Amino acid sequence: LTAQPRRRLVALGLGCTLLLGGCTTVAAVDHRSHGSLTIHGGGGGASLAVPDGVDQWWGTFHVAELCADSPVTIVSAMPIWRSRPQSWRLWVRRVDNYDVHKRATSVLGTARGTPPDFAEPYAQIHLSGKFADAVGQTIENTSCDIRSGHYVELILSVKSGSQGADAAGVSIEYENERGETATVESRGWRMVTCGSRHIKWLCSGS
Amino acid sequence: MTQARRYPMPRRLALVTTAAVLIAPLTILLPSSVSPVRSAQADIPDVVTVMAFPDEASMVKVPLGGTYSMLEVPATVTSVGSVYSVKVDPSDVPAGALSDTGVVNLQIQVTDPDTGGVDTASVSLQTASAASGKWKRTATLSRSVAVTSHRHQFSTFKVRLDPSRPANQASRESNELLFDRDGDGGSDSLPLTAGQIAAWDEWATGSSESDTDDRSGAASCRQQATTKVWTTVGSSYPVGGDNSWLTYSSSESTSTGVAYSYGGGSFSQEGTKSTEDAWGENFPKHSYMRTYRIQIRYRLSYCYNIITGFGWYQVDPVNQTGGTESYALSGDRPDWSRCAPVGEGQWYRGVVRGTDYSNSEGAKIYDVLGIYLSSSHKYSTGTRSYYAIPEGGRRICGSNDDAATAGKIMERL
Repeated sequence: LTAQPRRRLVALGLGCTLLLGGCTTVAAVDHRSHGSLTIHGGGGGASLAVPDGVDQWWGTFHVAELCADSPVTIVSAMPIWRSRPQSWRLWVRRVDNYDVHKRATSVLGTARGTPPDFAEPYAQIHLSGKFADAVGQTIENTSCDIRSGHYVELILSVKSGSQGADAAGVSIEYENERGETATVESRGWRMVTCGSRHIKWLCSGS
Repeated sequence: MTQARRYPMPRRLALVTTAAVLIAPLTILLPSSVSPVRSAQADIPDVVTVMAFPDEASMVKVPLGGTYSMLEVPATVTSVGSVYSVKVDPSDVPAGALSDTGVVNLQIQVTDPDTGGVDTASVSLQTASAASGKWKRTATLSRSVAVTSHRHQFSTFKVRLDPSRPANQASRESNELLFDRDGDGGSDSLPLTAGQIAAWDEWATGSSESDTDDRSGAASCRQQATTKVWTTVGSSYPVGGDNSWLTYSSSESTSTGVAYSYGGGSFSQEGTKSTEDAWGENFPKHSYMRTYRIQIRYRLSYCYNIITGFGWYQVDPVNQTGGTESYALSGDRPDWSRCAPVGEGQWYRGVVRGTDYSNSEGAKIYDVLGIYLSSSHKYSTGTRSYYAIPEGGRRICGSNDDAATAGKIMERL
C-alpha cells in the first residue's frame, strides 16, 4: 500500500557543449532516490543583533542537517539572498561523537563570530566538531537522526556592516557517485543579521 | 433472515453483501462508499462506510436541533486484522465536503453485522489542489490513524478500527428506535452525567421541526447541543526574564479530537477534525511560561447510519469563535535536551515544516464530556512561536526534535 520510493530523474537540460568537446547531463534527482542529498531544515528563522562597538561583524547560523543515502559531493552552494551581505561563507560541520544523553548542545542555533574558532572579540561560543568549506565536501552515508551521534550540519556565516543581511535559504548543487548532478534548496529557514535594513518583526521588540 | 429484519438494509447494500459472501476468500476492493471487507470469522462481511462531514461553511448554518447529512465518499477499503486501509481519490470527494482551502473531514465506520459491533474514526485531509488529484498532507494524525504514503502523494491512510468493541445489541436497537420514532435524539442512552449535561452551553429543546428526514447521504445526524471549548494551540517556555510570544493564524487549520459513543458506552476519542478561518491574533510578549488557547465551538450529535441502521453519538468541532486567551503555567519546566545555542537576537519557529504543535489533552472539554480531546496546529508564516534572546545568548531546545523542526520549543540558560 505504501508508495514505494521511486527513482525519478528529470532531465532539465541535456546538452553537448561542442566547444569543450564533451557532454553534460544536468538532472534533478528525486530526494528519495538512491544517490541523493536531503536537506533536513527547519521551519522558521533567527536573527542576530549587532554586537556593541563594531562596524563590521560576522554572524553564524545553522541552516540544516545534510543526509545522503550514498556518497554525494557538494559542487556549489549558494545562499538565497533577500538582502546581500558584505561577505559570506558556507561550512560543513561534522560531529561524530554527539551524546544526546549528556544533554549537550547539538546543532548550532545562531552565534556571533565565525567557525572554526569563533575567535572574534564579540564571539561567545565554542563549538565541537570539524568545520570545512562546504564546496568540495563529500557527504557520506549519514542519517538525519542526530541520536546516532553522527551528523553533518550546514552552517552559514555572514559578514555584515551597518545595513545587515537577510537569507531566505540555501541552494546546493551536488554530484552523486553515478556522476549525476542535482540541486536541492532549503527555503524554510530565514537567517538575518540585523542592521539599518531592519526587518521589524524579526529584529526589534525584544 | 433475522439480520435483514434487524438492519434496514437498502437493496444496494444487500446486493453488495451477497457478492461479498460469494467471493469471501478474496480481499475485496470496491470503489464505493460501502465496502464489505472480509472478516475472519463472520458469515456476513463487515460493512465499511466512508463518509465526509459537510464543509465548515455549511456546518455552522445547521441550527440547534437541526439535522445534517454525512456525505457519501467513494473509497477503496482493504483490511488486515483490525487495520483498515482506506484509499480515497481526492477528485471523488463531494464538493459539499471540501472547504475553500481543500480541507475535508472524513469519517470511516466499520460495522460487524454478526455481533452488532460498530467503530468509527475521523481524519482530516487536505487536497493539494482541486485539479491535482493528490492529497496535500494530513491536517493531523492521531493514535488510531496513520498515513502510509509519502506526504505529497498519498491517497491511502490506515485506520485501526475494532467493531467488536461496543457490541451492545439492545442499546443499538433502542438507539435506532429512539432516533427513528421519537425524534428526541435518544438522550436515554447518552453516557453523560447530569452535571456534564448541565455544563453544555445550549441544548435543543423538544423534537426538531427542521428534521426533513433527509436520507440522501451515508448518515443522518441531529445536532443536540453545543458548547465552546478552550483549545491549546501553542506554548512558550522562556527563561531568565526573556520575552516569548505567539502569533496565531487560523488560516492553517487547527485539528481537534472527535469523540464517539455507541450503545450507551462512554465517549472516547477516535481521530480528529479540522476547523479553519481567516482571523488571527498576535499575543502580547511576556516572560512567563504559558499556553495559548483559542475557542472552538463543539457540537453533540446523534447520528444514524442509513445503510446499516446503527446509531451513535458524536462530539466534533464545528468552527472557531475567534476567542483567545493565554494561560500561565506553573510548576516544573520541561526537560527537553535537544538544544542549540543561540546568540542575541530573535528566534522563531514558523513555516509548515517539521512537526506541528500538538497536545493530547489540548481541547479542554472535560467538564461536558468527561475526557479531554487532542489538539494540533501547524506552524506557518502566520503562526509563529518567538523567543527574544538577550545579550550573552541562550539555548533553544525542541520537545521531539531539533528546535527548528520540533512541535514545542523551550528556551534554556
